[in-house]
Amino acid sequence: MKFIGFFLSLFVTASLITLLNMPFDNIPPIGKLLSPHQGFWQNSEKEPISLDKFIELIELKESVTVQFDELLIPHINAKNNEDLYMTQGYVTAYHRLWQMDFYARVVMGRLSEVVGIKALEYDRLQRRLGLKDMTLKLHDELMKDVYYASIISSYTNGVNTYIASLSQGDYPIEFKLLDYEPEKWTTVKTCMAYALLASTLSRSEADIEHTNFRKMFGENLFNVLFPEPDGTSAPVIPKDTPFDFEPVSQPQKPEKFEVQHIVNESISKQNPLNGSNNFAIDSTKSKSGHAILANEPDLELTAPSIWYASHLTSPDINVMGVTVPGTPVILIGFNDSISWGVTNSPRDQVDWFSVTFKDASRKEYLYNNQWFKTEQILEEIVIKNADNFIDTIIRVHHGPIVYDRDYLSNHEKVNLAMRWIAHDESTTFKALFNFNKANNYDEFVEGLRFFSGPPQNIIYSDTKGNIALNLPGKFPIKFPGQGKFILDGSDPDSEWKKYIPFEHRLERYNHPQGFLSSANQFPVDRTTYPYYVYSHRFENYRNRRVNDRLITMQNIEPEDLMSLQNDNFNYIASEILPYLLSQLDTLSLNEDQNKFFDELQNWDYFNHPNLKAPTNFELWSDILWDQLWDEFDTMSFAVNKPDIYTTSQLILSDSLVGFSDRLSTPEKETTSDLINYAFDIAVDSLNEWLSINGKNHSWNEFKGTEVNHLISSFTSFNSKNISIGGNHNIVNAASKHHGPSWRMVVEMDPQGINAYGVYPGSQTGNPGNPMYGHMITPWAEGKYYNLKFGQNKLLVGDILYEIQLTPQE
Amino acid sequence: MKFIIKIFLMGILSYLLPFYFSWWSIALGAGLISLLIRGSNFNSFNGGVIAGGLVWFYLSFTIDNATNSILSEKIALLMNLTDSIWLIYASTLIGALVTGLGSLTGSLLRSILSPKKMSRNEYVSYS
Repeated sequence: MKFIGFFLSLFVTASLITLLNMPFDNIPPIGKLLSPHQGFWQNSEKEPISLDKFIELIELKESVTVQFDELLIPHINAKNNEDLYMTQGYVTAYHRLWQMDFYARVVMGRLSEVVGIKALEYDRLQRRLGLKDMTLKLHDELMKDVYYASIISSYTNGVNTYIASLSQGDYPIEFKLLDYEPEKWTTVKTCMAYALLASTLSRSEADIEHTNFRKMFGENLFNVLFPEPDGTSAPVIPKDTPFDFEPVSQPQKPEKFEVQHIVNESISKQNPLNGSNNFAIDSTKSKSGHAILANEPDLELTAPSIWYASHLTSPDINVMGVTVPGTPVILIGFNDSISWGVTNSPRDQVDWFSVTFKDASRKEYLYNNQWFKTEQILEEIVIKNADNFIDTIIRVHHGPIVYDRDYLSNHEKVNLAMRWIAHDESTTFKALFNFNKANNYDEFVEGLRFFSGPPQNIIYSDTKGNIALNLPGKFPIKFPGQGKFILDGSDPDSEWKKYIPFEHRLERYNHPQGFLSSANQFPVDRTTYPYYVYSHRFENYRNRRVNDRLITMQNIEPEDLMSLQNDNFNYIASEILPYLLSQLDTLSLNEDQNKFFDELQNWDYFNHPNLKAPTNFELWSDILWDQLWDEFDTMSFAVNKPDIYTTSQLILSDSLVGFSDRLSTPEKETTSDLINYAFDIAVDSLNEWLSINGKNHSWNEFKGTEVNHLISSFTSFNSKNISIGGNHNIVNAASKHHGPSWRMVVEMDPQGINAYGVYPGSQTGNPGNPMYGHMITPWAEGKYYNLKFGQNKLLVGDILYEIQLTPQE
Repeated sequence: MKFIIKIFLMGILSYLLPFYFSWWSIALGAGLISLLIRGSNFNSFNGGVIAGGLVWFYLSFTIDNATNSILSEKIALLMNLTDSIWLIYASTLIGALVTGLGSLTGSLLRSILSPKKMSRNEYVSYS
């Protein structure tokens, strides 16, 4: 009897514990999560920083001081570079460990391991794109160089020392909610940012979509709907820039170089809303006589933020700015002498080659009329709560075959190999370390030599009043049209052979107009640059607005460039709205329609958060665009719709070539009919929105900008309904999910520079920290913080928290 | 008095053990105390419930209070709870039940291992 009682009790106790210690589907072990010692309670923080004031680190050589300022930006002061980067690794992990782990999983195609089968297709794509291979290659190259190997190892050690110091209760909350533990950081992971950024920034292409469209509708219509820009409208490199070099001979266009395929579904691309602005003014435009530089990368707005700010000081270096957590270098920033910033430069960096296999074994493929051996790679993907998945990836000399019988080929036996510059050996890391330490333009240009991509418009300014714009990187010399469509993988003449020499790059050093700027637009006047430049999509509005403003602005102060970064002028509306309004049949408007019309009629084209007209315009123009290209929705194969700029031009010139017809009606609509129809629908949609949301339709309410957590189901870690103006194609590029991810303005005063910055997030990644997301509201309001550097250097009174790291005895 | 001491000791172990071992080490701690210190099964269970419940309530409540529910509110939303107070209740309940059951099991094990207490009558007859 007693035995029964005991065993029964033991059984009940053990069962309860097991139950509470077990995950169910997406629910983490509830006993563990609610434990005050180890669960989420331990992630609730009273103070912004909870590090020990004195920390002993085994591998440290000498003592290091870290002072956190009021924004929680660490100012690291080390006596040698190894200690510097080790400490950077340590404090970055303190603030962002889970995010670093997440990014490493994104790059290595290992998300399924922690979030389950829903990430499988994502992981497969990442591996097929070769992000893991790129990272390993980059890592192996860097580790051959003693200097970089020591930086990477030191940073890695710093992260690992931090991880080793954690008990279960200290793990970031996301580990607890997803029920896994931080694993060891590696030198490979320290190199992950390159693949992460290359995939975010240099994978924009439409070869497959273009091939489909051209096959179905012919070359003429293709050229009307997808024209190539000529670069005469405010290009990155001012039009009067001479290119007085003898160009490398260009490849001949082969007789027949493109293949005709129909591919139903294509891989997901980088978001077209990723874009950025940067601009710099020289001493002549500036009130103080010092150059001023401004930069803001517009990316997906995430929590934790993609950026982590820090100030790194050693006898060798004194640099401040932001970087991707997990990466030991400053990507955008400034030092005592120079500052630099980047915007993406859309350039076709990916071409697709159609590959023919000899037989179903896929062991040989056709090239130059001969059979060559393929390489086969088995990628094993571990999946939480499911069996492992093994993906077979075939490689040919062009690159990995991404589309094949196992992936998106629709059983059509289409095999497409990806040739992507980012697969080649990259030395971009070295470029960035050189920028961090450069004292003048010559040293900066030496750094540019190493910059292999993703292609960026790199803006520069220095304390001597100089400014410059450069587009360094690896660019194949193409014959006109090469890579716009799928290429024939068996034809050697369709391949890339030579690359544009560094000396022939797009560069502008100073300019009589007193400023330089870039905003993802076409880089150069086509008639002046001897090499073929192509991408399927370019910005056409932000660049013109920035240039319009900078031309008229004089006696510029840093605050003026801050205002420009927050400029809400809707260039699209200014160009097309007067025409749209003129096409309306205003005599037959009802009351609601009249109000809608009046709001637009009295609008000055600024997307300010409190105005209603931007909402009206957004609704109307979106519906018009949808109705205009409704023909595209019926196509069962991958195809792109014409962009906003092309659409606007077609509407304004009334040359819509029959697309104005709505397929759902028997009548043949004209452009004017369609504009009126879209107007009616827009008013109805607005009324519906108003009745559902029960608030007024001011732009901020309607747009509802959000900063969402990287794990979409962690909804309470998000910030919703952020009141900010702007939109896509507006300088203040804050749309619903995208926007300025780091705004920086730097005045290059030789007596000590003045730097300002803000980003929509916080240094801490912990939703349980009192400062989580604290910069979001100031960011939305267009406010900036003094960055503690140069003239505003960190004073004793500004130090929020200080820690000392010492070598372990 | 012994009851109070047991509660006190189980409370200390419930507080300390999870800093070094898994969260459910509170059951082992309470079981150990009930194995070493005599008490009825009913009292052992109750003592465990009170000790574990109090410690988990105290810890979660003080953390929540000191941090103005900064994280518990967010976690409550993720779990579709209307108020973060439910998380304190849930933590308290888990701490109480697991400690109580651990304590009961310890007490029952004691009655198997110590034959002297198996039966008062037998004990009398031997003397």
